[in-house]
Amino acid sequence: MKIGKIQETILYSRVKSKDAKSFIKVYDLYINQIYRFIYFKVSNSEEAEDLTSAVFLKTWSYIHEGNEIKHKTLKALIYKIARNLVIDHYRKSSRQKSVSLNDDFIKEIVDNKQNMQEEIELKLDIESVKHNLQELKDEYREAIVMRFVNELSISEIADILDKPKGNVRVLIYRALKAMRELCS
Amino acid sequence: MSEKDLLLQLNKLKDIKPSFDWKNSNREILFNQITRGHAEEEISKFDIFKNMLPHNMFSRALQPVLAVVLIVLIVASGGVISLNAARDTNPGDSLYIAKIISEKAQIAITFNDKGKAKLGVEFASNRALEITRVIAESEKNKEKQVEKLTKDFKKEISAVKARLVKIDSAKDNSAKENKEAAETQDDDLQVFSANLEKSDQGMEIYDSAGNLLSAEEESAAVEDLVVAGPSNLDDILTEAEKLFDEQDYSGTLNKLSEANDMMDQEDVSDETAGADTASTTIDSVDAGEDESPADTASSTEE
Repeated sequence: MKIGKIQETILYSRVKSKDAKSFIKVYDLYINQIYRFIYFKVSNSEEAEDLTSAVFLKTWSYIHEGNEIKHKTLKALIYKIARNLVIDHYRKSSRQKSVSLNDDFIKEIVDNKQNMQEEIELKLDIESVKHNLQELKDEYREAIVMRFVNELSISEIADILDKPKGNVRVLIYRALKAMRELCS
Repeated sequence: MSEKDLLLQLNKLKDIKPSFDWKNSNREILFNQITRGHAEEEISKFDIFKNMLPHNMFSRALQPVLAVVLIVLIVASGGVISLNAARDTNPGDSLYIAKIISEKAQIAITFNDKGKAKLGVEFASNRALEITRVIAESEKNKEKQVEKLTKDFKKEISAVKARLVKIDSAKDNSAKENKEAAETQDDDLQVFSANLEKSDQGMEIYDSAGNLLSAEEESAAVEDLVVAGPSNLDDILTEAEKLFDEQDYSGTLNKLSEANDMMDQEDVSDETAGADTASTTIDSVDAGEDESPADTASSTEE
């Protein structure tokens, strides 16, 4: 689901005016991305689900507590809240970050391929990518997920991370480089 | 792995999604949590608009003001632009109604009767113009439109005439007042003038052609000034109507602009005539009285 900038602004104003239905639209719009974003940080689907629902609830309360919102777009605000929630989650639980990822998803991705060989190759590839992704520094992994998996623009990432665009570009470049080194 | 492949693989990771069932159940839970059983409230569009405006400490207080100002400006400019577009429309055009409404609004805004009369003349000429345009274009509803426009034209003309009568009577009243004021002064001046040496002709008054007027001519001229305006205008308007009936629309337009000019002139002469009426009435009465010597009572000065 994709919407234009103007529609997003209107949705944002409606949410600020306490329109619950608009907020549900927002939920539908961003839930997949946020889930993915969190999943690559926590590596566990159940935890990702819990945290994702917490993100949306927290967003609603944050807006209506009358806090001053620096973010121009709702999307950036939601990502920011998601990031912070994951950080808090790790502070509370002293769990180690590198837990092996569930295999559930790989089946989904691979299922539509009919050629056995291709299947295997694909599975291996994706596995290795995922594995390598986990090996990466948090910062780099985050940048890659935002840019290449969720397909956010440089400006959006800059807004979320609260960094200048130039820094974001450099970050992505370095992240990709590290990833390539891991994969080779 | 090449970069291209890497990117492709990464892109595939997009397929990772939360389960459909979980999504739906969570949606309901979320909805209940945020509404907490509140009945559905109407979100006012104004609030939404307000929330779109810039947000910082200072402007939060100003938001309503800014919102109202913006809305008023947008609506006003929209109004102005569309009215101008409406100016050249004819009946049958969609904007014609807007034109008529703006005409009526103009009349409502003018408080001065004179102004209203002038506007009436303008609108009458608009009707004539529209008729010429309608006739030029060959359309199906021509006859109906011509009929309607003719009716409207007559309406405007009779409205103007009625206003002129109103103005006239207002003028008469003020003229009468002036005369009464003058008469009270007269009594004093009679006495005064009796003692002064004056020629038979008394004060001399010249008409517009530079010829000396006698006393009688004087008063006639003065009366003309007061009465001339409306009756001449009335004639012009009647002539315009006649021309309209004969379908000489350009002639009608000419007559109407004549009427407009005359009204403008009247405006100017009105001011001077008002002052003049008082003084010349006094003088004409004066000159008449000269032959019959008044009391030789002591002179009284005003």
